[in-house]
Amino acid sequence: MNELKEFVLDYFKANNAKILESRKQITIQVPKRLFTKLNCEQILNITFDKDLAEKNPDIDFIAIGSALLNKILESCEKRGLTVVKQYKGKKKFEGLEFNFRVTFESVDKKEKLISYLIDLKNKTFNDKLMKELWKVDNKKFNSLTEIEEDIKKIDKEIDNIVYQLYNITSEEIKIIEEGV
Amino acid sequence: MVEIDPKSRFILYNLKNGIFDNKTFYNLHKRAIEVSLISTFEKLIALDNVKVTLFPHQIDTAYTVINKLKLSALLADEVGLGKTIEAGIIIKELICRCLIKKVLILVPASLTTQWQEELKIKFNEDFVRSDEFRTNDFWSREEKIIASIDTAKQPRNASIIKEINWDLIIIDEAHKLKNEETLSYQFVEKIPKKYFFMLTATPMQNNLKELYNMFSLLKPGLLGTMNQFSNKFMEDLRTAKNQEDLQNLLREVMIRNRRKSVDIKFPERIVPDPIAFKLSKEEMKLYAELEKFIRAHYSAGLSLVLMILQRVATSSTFAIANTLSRMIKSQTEKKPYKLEEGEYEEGVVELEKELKKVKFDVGWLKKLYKQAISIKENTKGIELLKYINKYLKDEKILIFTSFRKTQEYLYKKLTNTGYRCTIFNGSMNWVEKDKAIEDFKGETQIMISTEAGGEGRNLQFCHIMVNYDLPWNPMRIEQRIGRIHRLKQEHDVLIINFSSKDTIEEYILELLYKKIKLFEVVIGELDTILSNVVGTPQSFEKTVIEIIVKSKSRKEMKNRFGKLVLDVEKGKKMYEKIKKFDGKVFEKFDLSPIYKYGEKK
Repeated sequence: MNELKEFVLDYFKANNAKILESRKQITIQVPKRLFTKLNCEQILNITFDKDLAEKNPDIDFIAIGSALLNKILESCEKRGLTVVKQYKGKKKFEGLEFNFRVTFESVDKKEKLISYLIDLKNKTFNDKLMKELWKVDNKKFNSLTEIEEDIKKIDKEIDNIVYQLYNITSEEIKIIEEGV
Repeated sequence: MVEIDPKSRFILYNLKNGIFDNKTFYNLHKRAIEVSLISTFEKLIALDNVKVTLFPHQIDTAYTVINKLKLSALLADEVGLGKTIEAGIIIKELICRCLIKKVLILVPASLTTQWQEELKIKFNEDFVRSDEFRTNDFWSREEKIIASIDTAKQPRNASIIKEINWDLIIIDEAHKLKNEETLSYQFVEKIPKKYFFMLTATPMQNNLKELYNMFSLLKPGLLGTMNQFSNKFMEDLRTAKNQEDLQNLLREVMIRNRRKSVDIKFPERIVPDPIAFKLSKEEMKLYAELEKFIRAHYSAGLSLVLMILQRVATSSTFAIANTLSRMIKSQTEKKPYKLEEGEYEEGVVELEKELKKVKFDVGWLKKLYKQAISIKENTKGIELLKYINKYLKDEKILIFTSFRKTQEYLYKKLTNTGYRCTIFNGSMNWVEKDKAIEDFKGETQIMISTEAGGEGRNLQFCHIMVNYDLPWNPMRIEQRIGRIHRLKQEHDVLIINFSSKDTIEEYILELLYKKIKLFEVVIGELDTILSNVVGTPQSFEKTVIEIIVKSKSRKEMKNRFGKLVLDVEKGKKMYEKIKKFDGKVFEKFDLSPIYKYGEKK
């Protein structure tokens, strides 16, 4: 559960909380703005170790499902929806990135996070949605065309917003769409 | 179907308006979503949050349901293997992963409280019972609900329930949905639901058609049409053919753990003959007078109120005095009688209706009251103390009574003699209850408990229980026993009862103990047996009170009880038949969980 711990601590750091880590527990001094939001104590004593928590009932055990974590997740999901980032790879570019959370039905009903990346300079975008969905065992979909159409609808909606946002003319749109 | 999470629509808004966040919060957001969307169920995260030791077959079942059965399943373990726990794990898992919000559990009325307690204590999930509320918006307002199926299917409730998109529906005792022509069946069929579980120990009651009906509710296309099903799988109504194919189909939706394949030993129940004693002269006089009073006031539609009197009469004179004084008060002040713990079990609404119109002879009540308070000591209490001194001096003992006043009396009596006692009742909050149990686990020797709010709590460190008085609803007795007679009990369980000569208690005990063999029935079978006799287990106690008040003489009463005994025996036979049939059909089937938790698929 190291990942979880890192995530929780990063969250508190990002929100200017003071963190003191000892062998037994992690003590967090929560800023006022935050503890009302999280509905928690001002001083938190937490651990990610279940055995430790069982021996010390005054230390809060944090795992998936615990109340504090749920509050943290909830508060995270309200911020950081979209971001502009510098990308360095084969080609450098400035990109606009955001994540969609989608539910789709395959053998098991599942949810997935789909990243969209838009290259601001070239105004082209990399729609991972389609690819990600196709990766899922697509033979087991109930109706392929149905899904395809659904994705297309979502895609179209995003396209239009992006075109509007950057004042892209219909001629330019033609070029972009042929390019994709 | 691909759906964008509604929250993601904000993204479109932000893009449109050029609202961008910094990188830190963007990354946190991304990680937060990833944490809440752990995409495989290889590890059950709920297990960290369960407060009860689980058996491997329970975990395997939950794991298989979640991973393989597409979250629609029939859990059909044989009785006593913990179907409720399996359902609890699945509920908890789905809640932990934020996959469900609106949950509705439909159970027989007699089990609503038990479900609520178990989910709270074992899984720390707060469910509300529909009978705790009387407003209509309750169904849409509350997220996690337990309701009796009979309440839910009433037209005014059903119409609302059918409008709600439920994430999860659970049906306990699902064999009651075997007939597609019943209101219950059609109601459940029409509830919109994402995930759906049915629980029963006896999926096969009479014939294969019923099995077909139940599975059609769960997965309408699985068994094809009735004709296809009968051509392919039915030799005749009661014999299956192409068994292997059928088994493979059923495995897609059904799990059945069996006692013999699950390596668990159940403790025995030892029930010695009841402690027989004779009431003192004054007690007998009061008792006879009360019986007279009850008969004199009986009229149709006024049986439940009288049942209160008859039941306190079998508990203690202190409980009698308390009930009488409150009845006098309500009659003279013309205020409705306020019910106390133990005076009602199910059907409060009906009882309250009776209480509104009841008119008693107040003078007579007062006379009875005087009689009751003049008695300072109860023979039964003396007998109990004698018994404990003689046989149970150093043992942990759990004593049950239905009434608070009797509880007080016993507490005083036993503490004065030097025994360390703890009280447990419905007036206590969670913290106090937990503390009482801790005390009992520690230094206290005796716990005196009412029925209220105790189900689901582990008291298996004690293996002796005393029924100081008996509830007339056999299910209640079963629940009492269930508090110490459970899977992890290491000792055989000793159950001690009292029988006071020439009282109604004696008849009832005879009926429950010798004829129904209540104390020996396997956990979970009783409900089914009683349903065969009187419709629902609750109506059993109504049947009893009617026998008492309608009989003009002791002899007549005896005869009527005799008939009830015959009915019960018939009911038992019927149940045996069902069990045998059920066993026969599934005998060769292996329907154990397909996956083992922790092993790679």
